[in-house]
Amino acid sequence: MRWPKDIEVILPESFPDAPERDPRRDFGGVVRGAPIAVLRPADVDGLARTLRFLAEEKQPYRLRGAGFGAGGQVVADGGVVVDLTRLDRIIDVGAGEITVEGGATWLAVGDRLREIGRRPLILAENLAMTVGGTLAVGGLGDTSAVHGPTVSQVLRLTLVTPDGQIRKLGPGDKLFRFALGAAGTLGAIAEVTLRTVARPATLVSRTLAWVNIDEFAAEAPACSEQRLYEFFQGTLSWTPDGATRVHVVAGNFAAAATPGEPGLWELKPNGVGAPETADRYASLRALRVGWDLYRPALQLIAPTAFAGEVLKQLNQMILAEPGLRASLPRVGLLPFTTDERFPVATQPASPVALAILLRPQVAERGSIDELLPLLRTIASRALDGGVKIGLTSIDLGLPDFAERQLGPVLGELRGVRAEIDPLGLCNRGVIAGLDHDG
Amino acid sequence: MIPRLPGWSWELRPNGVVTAPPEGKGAGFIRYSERDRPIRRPRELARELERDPRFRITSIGKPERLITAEGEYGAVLTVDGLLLEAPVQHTMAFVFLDDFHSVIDGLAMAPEQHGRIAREVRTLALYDGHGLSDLRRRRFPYDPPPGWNGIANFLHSYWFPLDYPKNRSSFTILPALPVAQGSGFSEHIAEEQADQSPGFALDSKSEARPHVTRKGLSGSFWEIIGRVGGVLCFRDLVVLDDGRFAYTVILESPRDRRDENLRLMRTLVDTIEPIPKSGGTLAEGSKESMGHWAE
Repeated sequence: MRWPKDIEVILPESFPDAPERDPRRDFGGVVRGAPIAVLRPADVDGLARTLRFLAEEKQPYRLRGAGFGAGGQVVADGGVVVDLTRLDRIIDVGAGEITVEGGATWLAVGDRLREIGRRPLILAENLAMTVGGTLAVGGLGDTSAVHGPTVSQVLRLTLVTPDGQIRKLGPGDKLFRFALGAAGTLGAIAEVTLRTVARPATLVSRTLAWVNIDEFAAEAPACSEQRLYEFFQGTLSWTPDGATRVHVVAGNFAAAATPGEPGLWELKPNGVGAPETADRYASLRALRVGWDLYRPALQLIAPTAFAGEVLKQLNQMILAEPGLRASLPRVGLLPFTTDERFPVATQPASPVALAILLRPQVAERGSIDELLPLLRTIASRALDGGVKIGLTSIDLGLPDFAERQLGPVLGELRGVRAEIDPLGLCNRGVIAGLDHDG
Repeated sequence: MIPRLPGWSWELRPNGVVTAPPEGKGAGFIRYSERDRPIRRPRELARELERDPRFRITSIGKPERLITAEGEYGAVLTVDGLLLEAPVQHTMAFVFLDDFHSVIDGLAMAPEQHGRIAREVRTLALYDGHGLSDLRRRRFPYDPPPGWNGIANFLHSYWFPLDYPKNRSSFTILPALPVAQGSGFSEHIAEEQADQSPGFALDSKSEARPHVTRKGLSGSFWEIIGRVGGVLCFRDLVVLDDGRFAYTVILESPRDRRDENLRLMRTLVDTIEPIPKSGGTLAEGSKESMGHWAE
């Protein structure tokens, strides 16, 4: 293939070995592949030329940001990788909004806004991820409990579609609503304008503890419905004797604790910690994410109506499987407000949902191979029970996954995709069953 | 205490109650607290909502006065704002009692709930019961002299011009006192108040002259002359009587300010509203006047 001259190309012999930059793998480390090349456009026009070139060549490709996919979604085995990390500029900081290129990281966004006492409405938890990558998968963030998935803060969007068109989109555009959360199957997020808010740097929070999963699941939606805490994230873990505990860090951005905290009246945890005031962003900033482990991931997203039942069944399965239990120090829990404007984003038809994140950490590849069937079983059962499947590194072996996950929206998504990518080249296979050939 | 709304939940809290509609607090709820202190203007009380770091006020509506079924004064206003960035509306009602007030704070989480929550807050405010009885010393509404500064001392209010003490003028508004009709209590008040001022040496007190306000309250006017530190000083005294309460206003003036101050006094006295009887409703025609108590 004759690569375009004005686009940076990296061929396999020059692929970097550093795991975070190696296009043959992703953060999950489970799925490996052998791309034939990596194309690195430097700006939006270059990105458009790149996608146009690939369309003309009928070349399937995967879009890649910081590589934090868990299941090879950014790995193109035998295809091309389009690396978006050079599109990392902060374009404008306006009144109540910031416009950045899709390859900019949340760290860059957070640092810039912090200079003026602001933050994005919803900040991704991993600051090393790119903004475009997070929005493409409709990921959740630190304040999703009340503000919804990260896509909810998007005001405007520049999408480079697989036909090489640069499309300026707003909330009234169907493509805007479908592209955010469509896992990059409708093109690359080139620029995005996010809503920002003024907040103190410190989060005043306390730990709330439940010993009963049902009670936690019954009460947690109140945080979103009544907007009790802007920050509300929890974990399910186990004491040495196997007793289950749910711990939630609940707080609001404030300079200091204020009396009369409404959450303490509306929620009835079994334990309440003292308020703590901390600069959480500074802590996140100091975190270094290790790429040396295998991190298969599975996210289950359940409507509140039966989230407790899902969590209980999951807990029983984990406790019954010592291998899974040993690799899983905790299960992440995030009740969040859904946003019905985004039909493809992973969320149930329920005003509030509970995201349950399993991310085992193991050092040996062999252990992964033992865990994957278990995770596949969990995912299949969950899907059968009406739960949505989010971030995953597991080939579920379900050719009708897209249909079961998206329901009637699948037809619309296919229709949108057919108009701009009739051959289904862009991120082919990322959503199993989206393209008729799978 | 407010009555229960049919079908609404009822949760006791340390200084009051939270009540929510059958569909839950996600739609909205009403918080009630009583015996809150100190009494302040409704807008200032409303601004306290921002003590909650989650809430930011975008606009505060004009306070509207109400009178409860027990005949107590109250006010209701709306506060639009953002609760963690989501637009919400508070409807706040305050019932002002002797030296405390109750707060009925309705939060509507969605626009379709605004009207409903506002209606329920008004209803609860009208029937907020304290059982303090009609006949006790009470503050009463009037329009204070424009631009003067007010100071409250329990039920008494004092008003001073901006250039006080260079200009030693002042108004003293006594609480309305329960009186028996035809008791001659006005004369007694006038006698008692004639020289009730620090350092005031009484020279003369006129006979009572009849006085009728534009709102039809009738009473008497006395002109009292005396000296403070040897300097001539006027104390003009009006006591009005509606058959239930006596309303007393005292003006102190140096000689060179008296004429101007008497005009202010006439205006102030004309705006005095008698204490309402139990079973009242919104005070029609005076809904917007909330400057009736000094702070």
